Amino acid sequence: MTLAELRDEYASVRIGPKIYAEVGHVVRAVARRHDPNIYAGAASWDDAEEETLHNVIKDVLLLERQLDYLMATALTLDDFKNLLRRQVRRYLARRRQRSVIDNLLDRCKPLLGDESFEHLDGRTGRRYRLRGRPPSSAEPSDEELLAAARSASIVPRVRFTSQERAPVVYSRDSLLVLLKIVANSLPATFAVRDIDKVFRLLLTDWVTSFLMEYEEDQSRLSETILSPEDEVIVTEAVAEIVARCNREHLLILWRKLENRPDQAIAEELDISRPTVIVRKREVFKIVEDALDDVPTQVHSVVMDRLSLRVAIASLSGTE
Amino acid sequence: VSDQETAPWLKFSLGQVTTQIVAMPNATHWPLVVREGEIRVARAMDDPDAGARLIVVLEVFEGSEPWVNGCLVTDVVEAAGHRDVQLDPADTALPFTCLVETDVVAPFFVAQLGPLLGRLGVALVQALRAEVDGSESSLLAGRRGIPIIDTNDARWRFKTAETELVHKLARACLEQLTHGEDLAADALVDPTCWTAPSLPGLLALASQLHSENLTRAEAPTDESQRASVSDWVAGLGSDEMRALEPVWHALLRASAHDMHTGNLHYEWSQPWNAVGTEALSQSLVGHAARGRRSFRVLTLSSHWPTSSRPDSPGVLAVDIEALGRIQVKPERVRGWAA
Repeated sequence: MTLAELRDEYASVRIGPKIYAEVGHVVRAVARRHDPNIYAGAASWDDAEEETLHNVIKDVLLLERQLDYLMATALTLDDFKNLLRRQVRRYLARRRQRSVIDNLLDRCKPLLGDESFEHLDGRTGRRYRLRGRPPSSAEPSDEELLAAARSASIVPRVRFTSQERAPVVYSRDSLLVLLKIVANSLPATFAVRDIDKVFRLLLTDWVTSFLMEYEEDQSRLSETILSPEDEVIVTEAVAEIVARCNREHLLILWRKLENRPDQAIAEELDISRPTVIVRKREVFKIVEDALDDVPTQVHSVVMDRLSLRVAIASLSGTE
Repeated sequence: VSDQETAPWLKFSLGQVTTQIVAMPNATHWPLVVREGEIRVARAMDDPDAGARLIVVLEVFEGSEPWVNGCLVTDVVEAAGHRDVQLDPADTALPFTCLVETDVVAPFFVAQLGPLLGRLGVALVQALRAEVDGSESSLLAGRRGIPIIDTNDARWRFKTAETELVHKLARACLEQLTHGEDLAADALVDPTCWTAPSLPGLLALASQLHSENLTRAEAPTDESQRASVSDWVAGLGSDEMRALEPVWHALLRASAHDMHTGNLHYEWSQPWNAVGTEALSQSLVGHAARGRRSFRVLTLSSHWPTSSRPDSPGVLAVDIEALGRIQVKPERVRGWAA
């Protein structure tokens, strides 16, 4: 098979026997490296391979027009095969992401019964808001959901591997904080389907990690367990940072963890941009001082826990 | 699926696709002219393993070595960070959704680019340029991803890989733009100028070489042309000889550079139908072997490559065995009548 033959077939019928055969080879080669139970909901790939092949062709190559992307960018037959491999991996990753999000949504439903939330039943189903927030029938816009996801992105996750059947992703406490952050960020009430969109934004790195064959690193990270000494050091460092920061510092730290520009923070706090820059330097110095005595390998744990503390503090306004 | 029969599910799915097929990389129209906002495939000049990627052309720099500033585009929309902007087919005229990576920007020679695949409106191009400069444009609100705030985030590694790739794609252009002055030959004179030497024409050439300070221009010739030049020079007076001094220097520089590079195979993207093409090609191959990737060739309008825009003829590419691609920009010698 040559790329010229595949190009000719694409130009005449888009997908014919030659491209179909190439996709079949790649699906077989890629899929069988993964657990069929997790990635196809089947006992073996013998049962799931054909359905996967059809879905890749139908949903990915044709409906999402990824065959066009392949044909526009492949310079050689190897390029074509590599791009096809990535599309199959992408399909498997997204399918997996879907099941992880479904599990998270199942866990969210009872948490939305927490006293922090109240619900309203309407024509479009059950909607939620933080208790005491004014009622609103408006649906959150994509932009608002993106902003909510951006705020929620600082909630630390439990890392998971491609071979885990039911990854937790968020501890119960973290999941509750995440729901509060989302509810606090959205100007309107929200439904579970909105939380679904937020999770899809938040878990983008899962698909990317799968594509980048990052699982080994992820697996290594997920096994990081703090020694009792490190646990004490981490806890003290987080406590020191929170104690030395005032409320404005904490809010600026939260916004910088979300990667917000200085100007946006200045507008939110109703102060000048130079003042934000001064405060930002102060808070960075506080973090830097606290991390000075912390072993480098646990810096990321300090930052994870600090993110959660900052989010909780900013939500409650008590610290 | 066989030649005779298409499975009903596939037939149905194919029937759902109403867009045209895309232009493939081998369908580039030469000479190539590029405009801002266009989406094209970019390939490396000298690294076949780098593959090809879509870019959005943010700025076009005309001149003797035309190049563009472009943002990398990816189809992996799931990898969006806060510097990535998702664009839909309605924005781009591409058949698929894509991400423009405003933090992965690089220069590319025009000859690196493939056929036109999509195009953005002026407002979107301006908004993307603002993003590249670090300002968030309200036009793009809601199209960005979640910030990458942790180096353990797989998207960080994705970005690192994207940056490494763009370095491979843009290396040759970046190198010539930054160190091009160290390379020999700031212009080549098409050997076809010697086919029937004309005094007014050569005076025009000398004037251009002088006025543009092209002190490293070279005028390659083959053996038969050298003989005809000698005959022709014999009939010139001393004033004419002095006036043509920049041309003689260009001839001497070309003969001083021994451009024997073996028998490397080369292929023009569009045939250069002129007498002396072999001498020109050998000179180009020789300079390419010494590191130069983009060339300005002063030629005659009678040998101008076919183009719909005579004022802006675009560039050609020459693919050279073992060396990769070079860019050739043909330019008419000012004042040399056809």
